[in-house]
Amino acid sequence: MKQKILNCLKFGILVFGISLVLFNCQTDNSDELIQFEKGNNTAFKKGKLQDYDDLSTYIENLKRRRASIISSAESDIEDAYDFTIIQDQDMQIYDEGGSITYNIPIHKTNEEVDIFSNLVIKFSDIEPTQAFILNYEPYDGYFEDVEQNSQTPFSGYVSSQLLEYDGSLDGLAETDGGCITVTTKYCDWENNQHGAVHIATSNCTEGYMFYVSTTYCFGDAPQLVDVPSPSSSGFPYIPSGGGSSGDSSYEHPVIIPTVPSISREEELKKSILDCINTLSLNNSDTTTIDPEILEQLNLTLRQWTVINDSLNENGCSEEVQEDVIEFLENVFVYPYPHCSSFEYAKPPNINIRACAVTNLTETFYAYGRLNGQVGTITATVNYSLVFFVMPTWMTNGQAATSTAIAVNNALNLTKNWFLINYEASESEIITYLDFMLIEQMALFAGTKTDFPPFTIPSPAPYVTSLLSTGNCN
Amino acid sequence: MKNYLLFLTLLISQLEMSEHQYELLLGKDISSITIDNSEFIANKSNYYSIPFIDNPKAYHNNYIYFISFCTNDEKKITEVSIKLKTLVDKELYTTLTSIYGQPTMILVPDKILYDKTIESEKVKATVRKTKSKAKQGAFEDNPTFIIWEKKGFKIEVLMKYEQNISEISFRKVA
Repeated sequence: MKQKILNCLKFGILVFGISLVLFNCQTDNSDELIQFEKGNNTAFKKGKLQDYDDLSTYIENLKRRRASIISSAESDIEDAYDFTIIQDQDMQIYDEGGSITYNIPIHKTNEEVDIFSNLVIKFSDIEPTQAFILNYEPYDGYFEDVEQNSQTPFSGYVSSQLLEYDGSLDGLAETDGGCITVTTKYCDWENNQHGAVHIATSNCTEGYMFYVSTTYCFGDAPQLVDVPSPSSSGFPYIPSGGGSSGDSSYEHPVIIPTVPSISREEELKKSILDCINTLSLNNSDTTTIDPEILEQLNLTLRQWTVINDSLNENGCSEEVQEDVIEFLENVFVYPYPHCSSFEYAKPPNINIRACAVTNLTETFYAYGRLNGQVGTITATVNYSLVFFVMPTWMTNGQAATSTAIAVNNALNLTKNWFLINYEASESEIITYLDFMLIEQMALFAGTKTDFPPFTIPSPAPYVTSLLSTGNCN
Repeated sequence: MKNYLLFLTLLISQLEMSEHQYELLLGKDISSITIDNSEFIANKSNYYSIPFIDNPKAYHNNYIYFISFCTNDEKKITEVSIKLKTLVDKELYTTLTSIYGQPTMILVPDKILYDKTIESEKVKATVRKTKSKAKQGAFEDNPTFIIWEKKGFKIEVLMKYEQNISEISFRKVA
């Protein structure tokens, strides 16, 4: 046994040493790798509706006119066209060449949770005002990617929706044969060279921006939109000096997909509650959950999405409802680290895939002799904020699933170690657990760090599960 | 995946034959119970685990959601640990005593002797360690540990009241 412990210690020290070297190397490399985009495109702005008087007035008039149309319309038309503007979220604005486009996040009545919509309004000095709704149905994982990186390019289906308006104001919603052409501006700056394509914003470096114009016809089926590749498709880069000299894209509304972030969480919670408390309610469905439980949990959008998806994919079955309720009621006390804790992201201009987790906590138990008497010993370790890094060839889901396994194994190995080494000091306990986390992550070619590899604005809370580490692939 | 499922099937059949007596697996070569080492991600640490996600494994009147094995460098099993869905109740405790006899120790935490929290300088984490004097008690006294010391092996029941779960470890002893 002594020999085994000695071997373990030697191995641990070796792993620690290697990890230290690797980590130091990585940190050094990161300084070189992570170069942030520092362009200054003043055409891109953000702002809240209440700060733009002309736009507010315009929308008030628009809604007033719409109300009179809706009141005389069929109820299904009302559902399809009714929307509310999310006032406390920034609009994305593009202001150049005498025209200004507002991308306003809206919440539509009865909109499916996987779809979001923007009200797009373009004012121009020389052209009639244009106003319409764009409905975005993104690929799986887009919402989570945007949560991590707001410049994630949209791909998925897009449809346009004409505002039912009689056109008496400014030639509102004037279209070309029932269609509207819009422009999306992209950027592919990555470490001072052309790289991953992302949505252009004010930080896009001149000479790396290009645009794509797309025409949507009202009433048509949603149109597939993919992330363009400038190298293969030959989209023109906008030359330095801005759009007015060589870029005619300002003629069209410039769209910047804007996810209504706050309402989406509420939508997901509502969908979950509907599934458990309302849908499939029959004699055999007696499962309900107190809505207050959902309000008390501070989960991320991705975590709510995973829960909602698991319910919907199983038709709100009684069995899954019970699993979800058990999960929600015990989300922070169950024994297995769940993969939804590890919300990986890889920013477009950084060659690192990483995640941040708050309050990773575990308690270890032991018993043994204390001053000649038998006693029980507990050690509770809490990482208030910890970062995990995985290879870029993994998907976010694969990285999350593997990290949950690695963390679970590290916790179990530490549990076994502590049973024997209950006299270890607090420092030795945390050092051992840290060794184990690094060692187990290394088995997946990843690592654990105490420093953010890049700015991660929304660390996810550490979530545990009764059942397993989960599958987030 | 097929190998994994095959292993699970064989393992379950073996365990059922042993009437839930996981101590019978101690000392066996882990490959002899049809574990394909390549299927285990953490095998470099001599640690092997299997979650029973969709089909929890029955253990007397309770269910196992997770089982893990520790081996020595020769890949001989030194520990089998099972995590149960709930705390060990009186019925299961009685069943265990009928198999293993009266426990050697039933440890109930008593007076706290030491309680210290430190903030690690090397790692951004805090550690709170507590040591409590333990008194010998009965099952009804909410013990943290129930221990059977048997010839060649030890059984440790860990009751995690905060999580409402329990773990049972079968450890090989010299």
